[in-house]
Amino acid sequence: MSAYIISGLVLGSIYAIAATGLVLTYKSSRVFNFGHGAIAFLIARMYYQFAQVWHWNSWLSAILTIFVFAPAFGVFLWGFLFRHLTNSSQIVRLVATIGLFVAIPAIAELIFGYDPTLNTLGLAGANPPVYHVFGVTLNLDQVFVLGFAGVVALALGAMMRFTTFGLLIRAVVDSPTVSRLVGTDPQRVSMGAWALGATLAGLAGVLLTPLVTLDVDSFNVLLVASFAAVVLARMENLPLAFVGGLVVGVIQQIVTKFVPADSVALKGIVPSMPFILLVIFLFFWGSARETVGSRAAAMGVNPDAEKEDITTTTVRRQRSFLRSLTPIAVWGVILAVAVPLYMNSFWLGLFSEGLATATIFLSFTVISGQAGVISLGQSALAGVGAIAVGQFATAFGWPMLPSVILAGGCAAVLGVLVAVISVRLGDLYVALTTLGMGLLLENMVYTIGRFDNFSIGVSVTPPKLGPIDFSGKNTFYFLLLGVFCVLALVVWNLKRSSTGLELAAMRSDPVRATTLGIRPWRLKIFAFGLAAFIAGVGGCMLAMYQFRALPENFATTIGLVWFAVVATLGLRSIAAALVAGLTFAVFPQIISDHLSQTFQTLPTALFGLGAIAVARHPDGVVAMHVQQYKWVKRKLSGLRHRAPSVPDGVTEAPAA
Amino acid sequence: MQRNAADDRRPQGGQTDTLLEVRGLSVAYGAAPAVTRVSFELPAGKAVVVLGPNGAGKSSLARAITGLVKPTEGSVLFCGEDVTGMAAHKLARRGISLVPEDRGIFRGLSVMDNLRMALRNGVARNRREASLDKVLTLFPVLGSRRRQIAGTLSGGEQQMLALARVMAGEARVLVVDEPSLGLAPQLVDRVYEALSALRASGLSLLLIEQFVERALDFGDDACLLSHGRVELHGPPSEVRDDILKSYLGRAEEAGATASAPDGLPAGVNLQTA
Amino acid sequence: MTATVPVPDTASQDAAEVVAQASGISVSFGGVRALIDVDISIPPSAIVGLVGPNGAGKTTLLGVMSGLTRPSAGRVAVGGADLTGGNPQKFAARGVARTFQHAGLFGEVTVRDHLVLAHRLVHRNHHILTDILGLGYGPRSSDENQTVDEVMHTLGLDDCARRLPNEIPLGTRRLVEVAQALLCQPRLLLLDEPSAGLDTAETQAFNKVLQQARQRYGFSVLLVEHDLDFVLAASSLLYVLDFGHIIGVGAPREVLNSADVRRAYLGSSAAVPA
Repeated sequence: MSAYIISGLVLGSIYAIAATGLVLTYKSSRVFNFGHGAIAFLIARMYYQFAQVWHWNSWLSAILTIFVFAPAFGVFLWGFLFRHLTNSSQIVRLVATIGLFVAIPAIAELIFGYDPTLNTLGLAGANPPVYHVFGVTLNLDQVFVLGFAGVVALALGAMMRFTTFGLLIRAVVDSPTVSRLVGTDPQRVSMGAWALGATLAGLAGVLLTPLVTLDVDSFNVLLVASFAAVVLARMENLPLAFVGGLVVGVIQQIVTKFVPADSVALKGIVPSMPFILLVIFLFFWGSARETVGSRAAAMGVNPDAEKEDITTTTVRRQRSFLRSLTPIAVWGVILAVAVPLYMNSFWLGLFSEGLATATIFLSFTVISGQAGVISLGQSALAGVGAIAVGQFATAFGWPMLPSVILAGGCAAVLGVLVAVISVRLGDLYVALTTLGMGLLLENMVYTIGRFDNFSIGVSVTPPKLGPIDFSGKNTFYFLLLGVFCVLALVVWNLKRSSTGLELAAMRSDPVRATTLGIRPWRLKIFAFGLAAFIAGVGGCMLAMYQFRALPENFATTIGLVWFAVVATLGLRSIAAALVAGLTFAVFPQIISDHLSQTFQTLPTALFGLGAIAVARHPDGVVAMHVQQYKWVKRKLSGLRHRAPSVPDGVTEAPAA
Repeated sequence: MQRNAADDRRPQGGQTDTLLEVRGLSVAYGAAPAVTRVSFELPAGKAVVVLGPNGAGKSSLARAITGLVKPTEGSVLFCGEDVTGMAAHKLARRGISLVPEDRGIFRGLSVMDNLRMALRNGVARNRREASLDKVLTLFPVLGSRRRQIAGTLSGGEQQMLALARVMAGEARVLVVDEPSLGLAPQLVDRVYEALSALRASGLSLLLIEQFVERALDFGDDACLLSHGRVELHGPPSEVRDDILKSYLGRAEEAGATASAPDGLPAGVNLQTA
Repeated sequence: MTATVPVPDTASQDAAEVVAQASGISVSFGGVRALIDVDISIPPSAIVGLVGPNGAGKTTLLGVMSGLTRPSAGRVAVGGADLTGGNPQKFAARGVARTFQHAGLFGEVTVRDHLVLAHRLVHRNHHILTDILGLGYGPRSSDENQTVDEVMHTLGLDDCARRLPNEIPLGTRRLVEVAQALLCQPRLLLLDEPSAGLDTAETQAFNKVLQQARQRYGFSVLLVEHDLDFVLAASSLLYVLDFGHIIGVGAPREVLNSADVRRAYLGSSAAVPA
């Protein structure tokens, strides 16, 4: 047993260091950094490059990457991004950090190249010496982990209590406003906190490297484990987060002891422990803090919901019915006529893929655009749809149409389940819950042999309906177009209906909405169910395009890239979902056609940067360009026109 | 984290100088105007009291002068320097301090940490010990509770801490928003004693109050705000009666419109069967 | 389509019957006691004022009367039905409508659609499933357009029917709030500082509209205000809150002249000069 505890402490120490950095930046700037693991990965990759590829001294490399580059990178992120998010809503901040999550590893690969090595070394170098402690075998790398964790804990504790910087951080965390009143600029302190947070992430990354392979997935586990730790600590303070990390690590290792090695059913549990713990902690500890007497949380309404919203592109009234038809007519002509007529078979295939992806993206339009909820598990739901249709249509041999609908239904049931679990949580915790559920599905359901089929997947073929065989390129394209149109119509109906009005009201001012009789939790559960159904059907379509239902094509990390793409183009509009789907299919192909293999991750990097750009300009990328265009126009015509200004300092209205 | 040396500029003013001048200041939150073209002057070592019913814009005025909110028009001059719209932390370092309605203390930090924060920004290193001693002499109750977490102090002690914080930071102009809110009368006495001491030591005070009597007794100049505008302005002795009268509403003018003629079109029928 | 909210029938109401009543209400937030043993009773077809210094608990009491705040002790009844501990939707169903201090309305919804939404919510004449199948277009009941248009006309909102809330001035937004409330067929309308941000002329205009609407439809109003002139002009009954206690209740002018109230507001019992 003690062996498991000690190895749990080793793993837990890394989680603890990462979790501490996460809570530090969260408390001092209110930004929950989804990109925390990505920063760890970047620093680790850089360390690998210096120490193993260029053969620099490993300690020198560590110092350069962890204590020089990482803090500089933290300051850069603060200056370029986080400083501008102080007054943004939680959703905007989520989108920005998800953009980091997507962009940073892609950029790291662009810079350092892809090196699929499994032989990564830590500070202890190759063949580290082994020690026997309390009947446990530890190598030097693991001893370093424990050592550094101890040093970090002591150093941070001392810093907080005894240094000026520590005092400043505690003051800013306690009250940014009072800090300003005594003459301290909270932004400056925030900058320091980001430098320190990035350093801690970097340290965790470098320490993790010898224990796992140097790939993004392992670091995602680190990320989620640190999420679990901070949720356990209720985001309150650094020491609790540190202890939370240790607890997560120990539990993860102890579970290994109790899972029989040959059990196929439980095989997925061990690597999933961080995700399982995250979901459990969220469920028990995550309820929005209900002040005695406040009903808001109990109704599925986040009492701290702010008005500015990533899903709000420049607030426009809904266009009249006729005016909305114009873009539809244009798109209709392009997609139904021009594309099949003028594109060759290869490009037709890409557009088909784009349409299937766009169908999945419609689910974002429903859950995020309409209901205002960030769901990071849509890819998992699409995967469930794909798996289900593989079973129903191929394994059971049922006809295709009912199989697809049933597959959508399976996804919908899961979606409703997630909704029920998370309905009382605030924006951030809902995002985390959907992320956790997605990862759980991926690790426990996707890996089931029957579905995964040795990474080949279950074959799925386009159906024959009556005389029409949809396996032909053209007919299949029209099938996908038809499915997209039907679901787009459903979403369009929703937007323009009374329920759409209720959703708009709920998004804008959830508390006011309840006093009119609107029931937010009901709306959200419905939205989750509908979005899941759409995602499931989209997953079926994508599986048909790929001729197989392969779960790993629906990984949660891919889902986050999807989210970044749609967020960039517009979470609210159906057209944006369509363009996003087509872009996602077509753009990487264009890149790989014209640029060499080294630029393979460029599209992903751009998608991530796009999400970040949108977070900086929540009115939408289009509106941003419109603003820039207008600015240029004004300059050219020589007019100095001062736009009506709302005072910048308006952040707080007076208390009654 | 290093402060710009220029930020520590402390303007030197003589006793008869006008320390703070507010000209035509307006504040609006989006579409809603809170303060409309307010002007007054604050000489060194004097106290101006700003009175008015709730919602009149007093707090918004305080926040605009001390940099928590940017005014939409008008200007604020401090020792002749235009500081309109300057950030709160910069104003604090120049010597304009605010004690807001909720006291403005770090509730999660100890008393000593609260004072250290104020000293850090306001006072040169070599003077900090002396400043701290001075403050603790004036508020001995804080000295005996220096390790206590500020949020656990009583209401009166928190107010003392807020004033001590200002003194430690060597403010020149002090804006106090509702100092007597939530305090028992004896504590209010103590607070006003402390404010008198501050004024005597050369500070200028801008006092926001809704309790008219106290404020009029204390101030050198009085100002009545209503719906964001200055309605009355002058020495307390002159404006006292008018202020008291307008405070509780012009009851005589309350010609009840309770039975207004029915101006609604017939046929409007919300009541369906 | 039948209304699900019973319409207050003022003609036959017993003089002793109350529209809403809260008794023994206490509310605590953390260690702070916001309301202490508060009793308040709203007579039919009346405007009741609620005033008090900052932090007295006025907004908290409104929260209790609208279901947004659960009292730690006491009972709340609306139209005779006990709603203690109920959620805001229950209060809305029972005929309680309210406005908010921030008057933000729903940022992406046009003025007219605010009213349409209220009408449809009250009549419960739409359903999610029919909506997504495309059967939810157009007015949901035969009187929807007529009723909405007439209320808009009454309150002078015809010009801004297609506008969004951030395109109209604050005073107009408050009128939209009232219009939306009217469409909910309320028996009790809670107004949270409606004159904040309005000048004297606008406040008087608002008062006029309020009186007319109340006369016409017969609902009662609980008016929380700082503007004492407005309260004196509008209300027939006044409650004064201070530190969570009711320190005065009665005819507005008398209550404001009582010693306790003067002390709370002025800090002394000095007589108000004639």
